[in-house]
Amino acid sequence: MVLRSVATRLALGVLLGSAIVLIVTGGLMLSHTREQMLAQTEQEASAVSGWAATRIQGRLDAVARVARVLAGVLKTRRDEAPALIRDTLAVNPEIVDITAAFIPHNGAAREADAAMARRAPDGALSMGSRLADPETYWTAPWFVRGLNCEHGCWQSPFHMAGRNDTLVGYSVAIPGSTTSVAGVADVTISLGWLQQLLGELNKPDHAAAFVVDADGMFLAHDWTSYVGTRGSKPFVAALKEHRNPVRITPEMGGRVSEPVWVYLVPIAGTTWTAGLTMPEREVLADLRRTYYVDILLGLAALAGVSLIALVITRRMMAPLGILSDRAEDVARGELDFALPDVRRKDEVGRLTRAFDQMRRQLAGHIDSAKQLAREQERMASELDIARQIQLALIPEAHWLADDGRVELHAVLRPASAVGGDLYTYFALGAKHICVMVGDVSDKGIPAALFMARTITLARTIATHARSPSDILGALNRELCKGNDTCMFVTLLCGVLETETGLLTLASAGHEQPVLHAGGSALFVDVETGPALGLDRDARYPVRVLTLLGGDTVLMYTDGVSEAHAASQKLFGSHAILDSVARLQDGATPEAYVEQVLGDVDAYVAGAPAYDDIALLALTWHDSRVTEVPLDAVAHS
Amino acid sequence: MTLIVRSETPSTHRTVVWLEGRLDAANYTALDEALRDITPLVDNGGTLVVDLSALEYISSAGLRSLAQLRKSMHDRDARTLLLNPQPQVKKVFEIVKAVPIAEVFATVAELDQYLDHMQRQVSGTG
Repeated sequence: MVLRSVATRLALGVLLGSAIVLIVTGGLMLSHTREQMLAQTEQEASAVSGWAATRIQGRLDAVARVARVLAGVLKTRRDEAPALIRDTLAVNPEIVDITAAFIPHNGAAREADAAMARRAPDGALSMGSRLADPETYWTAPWFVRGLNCEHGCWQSPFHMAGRNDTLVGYSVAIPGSTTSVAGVADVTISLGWLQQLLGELNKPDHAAAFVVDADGMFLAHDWTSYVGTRGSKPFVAALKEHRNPVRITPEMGGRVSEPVWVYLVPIAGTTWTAGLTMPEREVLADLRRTYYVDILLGLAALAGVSLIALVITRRMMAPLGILSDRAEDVARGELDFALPDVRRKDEVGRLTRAFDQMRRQLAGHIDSAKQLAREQERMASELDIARQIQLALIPEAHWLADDGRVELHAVLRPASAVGGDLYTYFALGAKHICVMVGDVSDKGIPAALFMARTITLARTIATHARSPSDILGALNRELCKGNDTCMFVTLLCGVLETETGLLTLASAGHEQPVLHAGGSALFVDVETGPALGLDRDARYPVRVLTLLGGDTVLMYTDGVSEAHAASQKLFGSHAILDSVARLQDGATPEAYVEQVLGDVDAYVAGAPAYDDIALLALTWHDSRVTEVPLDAVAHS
Repeated sequence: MTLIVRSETPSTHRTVVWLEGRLDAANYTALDEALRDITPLVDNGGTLVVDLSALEYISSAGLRSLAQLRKSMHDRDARTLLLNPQPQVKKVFEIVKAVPIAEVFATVAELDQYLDHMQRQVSGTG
């Protein structure tokens, strides 16, 4: 549910996106800072180591100078050697012992040839000879090496019985008066001060200082257990290759429990090297702490930003939530509701105003649609009334004359509620009846009104006339009056003398009637005049038929002859002939009407009627006389 | 099928209107509207020729439109002549006689001959 809210999703999105950015930039920063920290630590360590190296160098230089001066003096004052070394030892308290050893003459060495002055740990001075050494001194390595050191060189550190500190000697060759080398002057010092010096160094926390000789032997080390031992393989390798700084891990075989960084500075004038080791963890401890603090602060900031985004978005989206609810109301058809008063000019404000306008317009449309529906309903009911009125204008569908001579049946079927087709019949005096079938141009209400006018006028006019020609002429003149729209009606008018069966026909542009006589159906060819309502001066010729007993005349409108479905061919006049021909002699007029209508309905197969239909069948009954039908054409 | 109305006015004396398709209760208003634009182009005393050669069907509503056209032209001394209706359409004109059958012509030549004759009559009497 919570995740459906846009505000929550936005806040979460901001949080997630920022967290990713923070982690990536944090990682890059960490890597960069790590490099910087390592470089800085190296600088620091090198400074400390360099300072230590300088101190150590100064101290060793002083000792070396003593040895070289002594060697120079001994070149000419060999005999005074014991006294010289004793005095020298006395004024140089940092020296442990001094040896002045000469190459023995002729293989016979005297004690004075290898004089040695020594300072005991308690400070007492004593004299001795190197002849007392268990090893023959002139073949001992330190002596041989010393002979080759014209400018002096440092020997390897060693331990002496009775002392627990490490000693180291500086040997210088004593030049001879006749030979180039006469012996070796050797000055030994204790390395105790070196250890002390390392302890006094202003080192970074967790750093350990050391001094190592060329072979990787620790001369001094803050971790005293390392003193006098050799460094690990990777350490010695780095030392020999002069790599600096070097990272040593337990996995590489280093004598360490965790990865350490080693910083080295060579001590000038010696083969020694001063250095510092620092556990990597400690180098980067600050960095890690800083990083964690940064990340925590960053996350706190992100949470804050997300909270602010959540609050702002919720406030901005609040009207949208209401709009959504209202839109659902609209979907249910409820349009009457209050919208929040939004004065904002942003999208939410515009949406709210547009929504309000839309709601009002929709309500307006619904109102007008309802009104339209009511209007249509009223129209429909009016049309229904109009239809009833129109149907009241036409006489009964079936009529049988009082004397039984004339029987007729008619049907009027408008295509819509009201139509323009008409039929009517009425008696003209005692001996004549008049029948009419007509079709007003066009359809619908105008046609229905014109039809009403026609049918009313026809009855009025016919009472004063006997000939269909006169009836049509008078009707035409009446209908021409004020007929600017050129509405017209085609009309077939017949007047039947009921006693004789004499039928006079006149046509105003109407379809030919069908005569069914003696078992055959045929068109009655009536010359037509113009349709009624167009030409004031029109004249209408008549055609006279004499009907025999049982003859039937069928009058119809083009709704019958031109009946058709959508794209069908027209039903056609000849189809009416065929339809009539199938009827037996003596069929009732009703049967004629039903037969033709049935055929038309079957032809259009349920399609809506295209035009109004009027159909009238008239049968004349006379059993007394049987005559040949007499045709006559007369022009009125 | 629908009704297509085209027209051409070669001179102010004569305008020709072609009707194509069906003219019935469903579309006679389209013809009335089109004619409202065309008839002003015909001079008083001029001739409007309605070419029916492509008209396939005409109902009573269509006849009424043509009758009204003829009447409105007649009121300003202009003639409306119908040209070359198809047989089924011609038959409707002959039966209903909504317009005088004398004003329906099979060919342009016949129509021109009629117009010449009418003009001679006018100038003869004048």
